[in-house]
Amino acid sequence: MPEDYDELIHGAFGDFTEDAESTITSAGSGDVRSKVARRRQRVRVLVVVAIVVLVAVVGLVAVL
Amino acid sequence: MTVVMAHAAPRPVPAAESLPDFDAFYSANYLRLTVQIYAYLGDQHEAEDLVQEAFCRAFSSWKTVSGYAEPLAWVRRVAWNLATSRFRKQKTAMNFLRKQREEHVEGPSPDRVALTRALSKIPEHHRRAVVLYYLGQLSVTEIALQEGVAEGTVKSWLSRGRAALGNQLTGQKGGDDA
Repeated sequence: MPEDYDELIHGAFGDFTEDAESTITSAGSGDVRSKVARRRQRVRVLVVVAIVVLVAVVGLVAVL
Repeated sequence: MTVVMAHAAPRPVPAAESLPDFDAFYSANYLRLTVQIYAYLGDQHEAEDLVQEAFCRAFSSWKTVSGYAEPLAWVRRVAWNLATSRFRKQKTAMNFLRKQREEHVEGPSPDRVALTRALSKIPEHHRRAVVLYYLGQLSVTEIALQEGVAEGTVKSWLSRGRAALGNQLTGQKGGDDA
C-alpha cells in the first residue's frame, strides 16, 4: 500500500533537508536588494539612452 | 467535481512605513524554499539562483506582494514556475550532454543522492506534488491551488508519486544492502 511508504518518505525527506540545509549558503537579503537596485539602474540608463536616441532621430529628421 | 480556484485577493497596498519587513521575510523563508526546489531540480546551485530570483521579483514589487494574504505563496509559485522552466531546459541540455560525454559527479551524502536519484525517476507532476506535500508541507488544497488543478488530481499524483518513490527508495536500499 502506498500509505506504508509514508514513514519511509518522511524519513528520507527529513535526512535530505537536514543535509541540504547544512550546505545551502544564504547570500542574505542584501544581495537581493543590490541585485534589484542594479536592475533598476540598468532600466533607467536604457530609458535615458532611448530618449536621447529618439530626440537625436527626431532632430535629424527635422533638419533634413 | 468542481473546484473553485480561490485566488488570494490582494489587500489594499499598505503605506511604505507599515510594509512588512522584507529582510525578515527573506531570512524566514529562503532556506525552506531552496530545499524544496533543490529536491525538485536535483541541483543545489540552480535552486539557490532560482529562489533568489523569485525573491528579487518579490522585492521589486514588495509594496504589492507584501499586501497579499500570503506573500510566501506568491514567491513559492514564482520559484516553482522558474524551476519548471529551468527543469525543462535542463532536461534538454542533459539529453544532449549525455550523448557527448560520461559524467562523474562527486559530492553530497549518500542519503541526499539516493533521494534525488529516486525523485528523478518519477514523473514530473508526481515529483512536484510529493515535494510540495512532504517538504513544503502544503495541504492537498494548497497544492491544487498552486498547480491550478483539481484536488482529486493532486491526490492521484500524490498516491502514485508516493508509491513510485517508495518503490525507488526500497529498491535502492535493497540494492545497496545486496
